[in-house]
Amino acid sequence: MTKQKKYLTKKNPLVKSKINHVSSHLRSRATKALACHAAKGDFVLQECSECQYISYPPRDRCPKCWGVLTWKHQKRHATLLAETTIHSTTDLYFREHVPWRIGTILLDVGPTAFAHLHSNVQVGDKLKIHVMLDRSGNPALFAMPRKVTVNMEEDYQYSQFTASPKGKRILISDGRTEIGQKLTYELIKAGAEIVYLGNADSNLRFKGQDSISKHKNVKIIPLNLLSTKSVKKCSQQYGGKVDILINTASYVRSGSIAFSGKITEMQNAIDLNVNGLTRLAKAFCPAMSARSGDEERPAIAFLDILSIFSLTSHPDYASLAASSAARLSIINSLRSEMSLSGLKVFSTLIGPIEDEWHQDIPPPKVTAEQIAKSVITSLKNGQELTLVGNVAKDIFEKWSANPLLTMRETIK
Amino acid sequence: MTSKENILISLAEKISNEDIRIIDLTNTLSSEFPVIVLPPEFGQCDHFSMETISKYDDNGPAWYWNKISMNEHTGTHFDAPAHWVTGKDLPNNSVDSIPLKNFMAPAVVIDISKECAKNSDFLITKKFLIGWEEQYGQIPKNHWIALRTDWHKFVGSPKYLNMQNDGAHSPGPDKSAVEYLVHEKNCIGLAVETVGTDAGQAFDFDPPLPAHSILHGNGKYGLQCLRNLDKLPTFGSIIVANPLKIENGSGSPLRVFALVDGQNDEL
Repeated sequence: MTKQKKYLTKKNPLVKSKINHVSSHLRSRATKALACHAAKGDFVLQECSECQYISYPPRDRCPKCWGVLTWKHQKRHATLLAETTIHSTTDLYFREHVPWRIGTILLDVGPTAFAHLHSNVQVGDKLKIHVMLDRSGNPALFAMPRKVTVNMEEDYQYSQFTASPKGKRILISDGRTEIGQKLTYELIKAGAEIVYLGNADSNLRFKGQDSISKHKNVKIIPLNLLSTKSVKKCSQQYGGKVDILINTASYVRSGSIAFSGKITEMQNAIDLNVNGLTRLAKAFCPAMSARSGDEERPAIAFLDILSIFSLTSHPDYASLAASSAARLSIINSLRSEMSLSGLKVFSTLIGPIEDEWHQDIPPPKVTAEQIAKSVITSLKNGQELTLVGNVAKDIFEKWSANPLLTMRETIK
Repeated sequence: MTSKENILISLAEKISNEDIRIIDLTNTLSSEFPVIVLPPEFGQCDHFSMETISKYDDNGPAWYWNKISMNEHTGTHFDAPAHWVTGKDLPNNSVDSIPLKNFMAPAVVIDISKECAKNSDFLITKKFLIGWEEQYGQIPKNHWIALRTDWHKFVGSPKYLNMQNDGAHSPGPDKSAVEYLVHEKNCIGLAVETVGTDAGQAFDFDPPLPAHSILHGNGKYGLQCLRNLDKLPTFGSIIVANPLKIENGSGSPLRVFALVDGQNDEL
C-alpha cells in the first residue's frame, strides 16, 4: 500500500514554513554525466569497453581493469537484498524527511548499489530501478516495485524526486494559446487544484476564452510578460500561491537574418522569449524558492517550453532560434541557481507546432495536445529535459552526437 | 510696453488665475494602455514599456530613472503626414519638420457621443456635418476638428478597441466628411478619442482608411487616444500638441492639452 501524500487546501498561516535544504553539490564529473542522462529519464550505467564490466557508482576508469568506461542503456531490473530505515542524521536535507528507507539492490546486470526505496518494496522483491534527480540535481537510484499499482507515484519518498501536478496550484504564463489551454485541461485532469491562466491583453478576447473561463479550477489573471510591472504585480498577488510555474509564452515569426527577417521581429522575439522568461523568473522564483521546503504546500517546479531550434539555429526562423538559444541558456543558469533552493527547473523542447506560424514547415509537426501530455509526464517523472515530437527527438539525438554537424545540417 | 499691454503676459496671468484653464487631453502612458491591432501578418504597434534603471538602490543610490520604449503611435499620439503613403512625398511631412505654428491651433468640438452610444460603427458624413453647422454654426477654417465620442470612457475595457471576429468597431468619418473638412474647411487635422482617426471598419471603405489617406495626403495631422474632449466648448478652445522632435518621425506620443476660457458658459 503506497503511503500517500496528504493534499491540504489550506495551511496554518501561523506555522513558520520550513527552510528548504538540499543535498550536497559535491559530485564528480562522471556523476554529473549520469545526471544528464537521468534528466532525460534514461537508465544508463557505465560499461568497460575492455572487459565489459558494468559498474556503479560513476567512475573515471574501470575498477577492474582501468579500461575506458562508456555510458550504455541497461536493463532496469534488480532485486532488493537488504533495507534499513534512517531515523536520525546530521544531514540537513534528510533531517527534514526521516524516517527514510534505503536499501542495497543487486542489479540484474551485475553491480550492487544503494537505492532509495518506494514504500511498496520489501527485501527479496523484484524491482524496477530509475535514475532520478534529487532537489539539487544530483542523480540517485530509486527502487520501484515492478508491478504498477494505483497511486504508486504518490509515494512520499518518490515524490521528493518528482513534481506531480496533483493537488498543486499552477500558473501558466500564456493562456491565450492553444498550448496554454490544452495544458490547463491536462493539468486539471492530472489533479491540479487550480490553474492560474495568464492573459496578456484583457482588451482583446481570445479563442477558447468563454469555455475555459467558466471552469471551476481555472482563474484567468492579467499577466503580460512584456511588462515588468505586470509580471511583478502578478507575482505580488500569486507568487505565494504558485507551486508550479509553466512558461508557455512564445513569439514565433518566420524570417531570415539578412533578407526576409526584420529587426523589429528579432526585438519582439527577444523581448517575449528572453526578457519575458527573465521577468517571470525574477519575479516568481525568489518567492517560490522561499517555499520550496514547505512541508504542506511546497513550491516545486519551474518549467519552460521552448523550441528545439535553440540547439541548432534555423535559417528561416532565425529570430525564434536565436531567442530560443538564449532562453535555453537562461534556463540552464536558473537551474543552477535554483538547485541551491531545491526548486526543480524543467525544459520541454518542442519541434515545429501545428499552428498558423509554422505553415511553411512540412510535417511532422507537434500538436498542443502532445505538448500538454509530455509536460504532465515530465513533471510526474521528475524528468528535467523532455523532447516533444519526432523533429525534436531527431535533432536532439544528432546534436548529442555531433553539435557542429547538426548546426551545419540546418543550412540549406 | 507694460505687462498689461503684452498679450503673452496677459495670457500667462489668466492661466495663473485660472481665467483660462488648461484641460489635459492626454491618457497616461502605461503598458496596459491599448494600441491599434493590425492583422497578425503585419508588424504590430508596441505597447508602452518601462524598465527601472535605478530607484535609489544599488544601481543608482540617489536617483530614479527608467528606460522606456514604445511605438511612435502608442498612447495619446500625433500622426504626421509621412505616416501614410499618400503623404510620403509632401514637404515638412515628419514630426521634426512640421512648422511649429501648427502645434497650437483652435479647435471645434463636434459632439457625436449620443450617436456613438447607440451605434459603435457610427460614421460622420458630409451631410451630417452640414446639418451640424445649421444647428451650431459654421465650422471655422484652420481648426482642429475634435470628434467627441466619449470613447475614452472605455479605456481599460475590451469595448475600447471593440475587436470582433470581423475587425474593430468604433466610430469615425467617411470619405465625404474628411474631404469636406480638408478641402472646404482647411482643417489642421482630426482629433479623436479612439485608437485611430479612422473608424474601426474603415479598412473596408472606399478608399480604405479615408481619414488617414485623405488627411495625410493633404498635409493634415491626426491626434488619437485623447480624453476629456467632453470638457471642451464647441468653439473657442486652443489645442496645444507638440510631438517629440524625432528625426523623420511618422508621429509621436505627446502631452496634449487645451486652453479653455474659464468663464465659458458651456463648461
